Amino acid sequence: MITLDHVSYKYPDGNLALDDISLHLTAGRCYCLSGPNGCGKSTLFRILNGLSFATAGSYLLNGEEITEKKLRDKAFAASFHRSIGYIMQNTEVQLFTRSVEDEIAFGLYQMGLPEEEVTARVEKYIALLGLESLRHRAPFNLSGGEKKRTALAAILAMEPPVLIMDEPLSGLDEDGQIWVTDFIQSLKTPDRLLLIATHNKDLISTIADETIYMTKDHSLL
Amino acid sequence: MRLLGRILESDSKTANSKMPRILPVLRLSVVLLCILLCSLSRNAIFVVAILAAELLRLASLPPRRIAGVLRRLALPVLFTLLIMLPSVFLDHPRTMLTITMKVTCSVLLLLLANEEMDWKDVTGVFRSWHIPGIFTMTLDMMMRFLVLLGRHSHAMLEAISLRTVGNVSGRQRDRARYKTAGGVLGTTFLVSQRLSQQTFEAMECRGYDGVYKGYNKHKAGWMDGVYALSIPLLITAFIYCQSLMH
Repeated sequence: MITLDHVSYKYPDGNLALDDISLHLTAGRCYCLSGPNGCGKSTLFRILNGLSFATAGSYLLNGEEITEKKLRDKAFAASFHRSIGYIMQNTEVQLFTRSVEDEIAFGLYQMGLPEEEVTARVEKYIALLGLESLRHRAPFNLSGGEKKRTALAAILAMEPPVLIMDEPLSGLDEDGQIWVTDFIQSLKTPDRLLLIATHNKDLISTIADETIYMTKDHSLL
Repeated sequence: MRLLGRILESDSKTANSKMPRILPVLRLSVVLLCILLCSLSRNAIFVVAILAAELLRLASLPPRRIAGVLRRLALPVLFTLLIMLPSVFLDHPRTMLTITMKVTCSVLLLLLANEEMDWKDVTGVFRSWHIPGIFTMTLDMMMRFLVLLGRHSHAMLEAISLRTVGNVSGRQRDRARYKTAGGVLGTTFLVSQRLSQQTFEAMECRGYDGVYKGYNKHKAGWMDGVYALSIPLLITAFIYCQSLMH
């Protein structure tokens, strides 16, 4: 599903962020990405989401190479972003609409789904994530756990086959961490690829089918 | 007490449900026209008439929403009164009344529109007016980040005050204060830049390509036709009221 072939990334100032990363990730598996701070996990996620582009090597999604030029094409970019759901570490920046309901509907409208489908999916994911009582609340006024659930609902509603999460347990209390871990576990389906960056050993031992380690010198172990 | 409880209960059920009975494009057009005409009006009758109509409209809302609107209305009105207060001492008390009334009218119009329309409706109207998506996004982000950056600056000021207990006094203290304020402003600016960049990327990941997409749920009905008549009526009333001045 996802293939990275000798991918390297250098910041504009010349600092190396990723060094010769090669990976092959397949659907139906849950991969946990672990490594020290600053090793390049977030940069790797940015490349996978088409927000940054490798300075060397290639990135293929379902056999198609993802390049900056291709993503300039709106139709291609739309189908690419429909395939990958990204839950950022700081969910606060990910929630930008006026209500939880609008937040979930945003991506669906952008996908161009028919209105009935949008409404049905919003209701489905509000119920799935237990957001009924928060549906009219402004996302930036929610607690950390509620924001995380809202971000999950907003991304899951788009039903992407690839789900990437950056530190999904950060900022959550113990109950919240248990809830999110169980929820991620329930997301494991044969047609979905999960890629999760985490330092949490409990999470890795509970959900990971495979663990990928990155080292301080920005390469894979 | 039981009656009050029932009113509040019914109110909480409707508190979050916006009822756009009128086409949003029509509603927003009338609001903007009213604000424009009120600002241009040199005759208090016109402004008072609009204000009366808006107060009637306000009275039709549930009690909790009325309280919410009045709470938000109070600050700009009091601020205007305060700003215009010197005109009373300069022998122009009517100026204070006129300006305050115009501000009350304009803010009330916007608050009522906000009560009756979702942000989705407003962006839909912007789309139909061919206003670029970047404008809508900038407006949206600005309002959102005002809250977030306010919180951030407050947290920074709290952290600074905790670290400066019993610090130097006099001119040195003032210099330190200016330096601190500069630091807070600078950091807030950098944070705002980072947050807006990340938010834009999050939007991109969810398919945003510079255009807010959505659906127009509202179909034009006979009520919209009646409401549309208010546009020529408003203009006629405005011209008539201005002619009374001569």
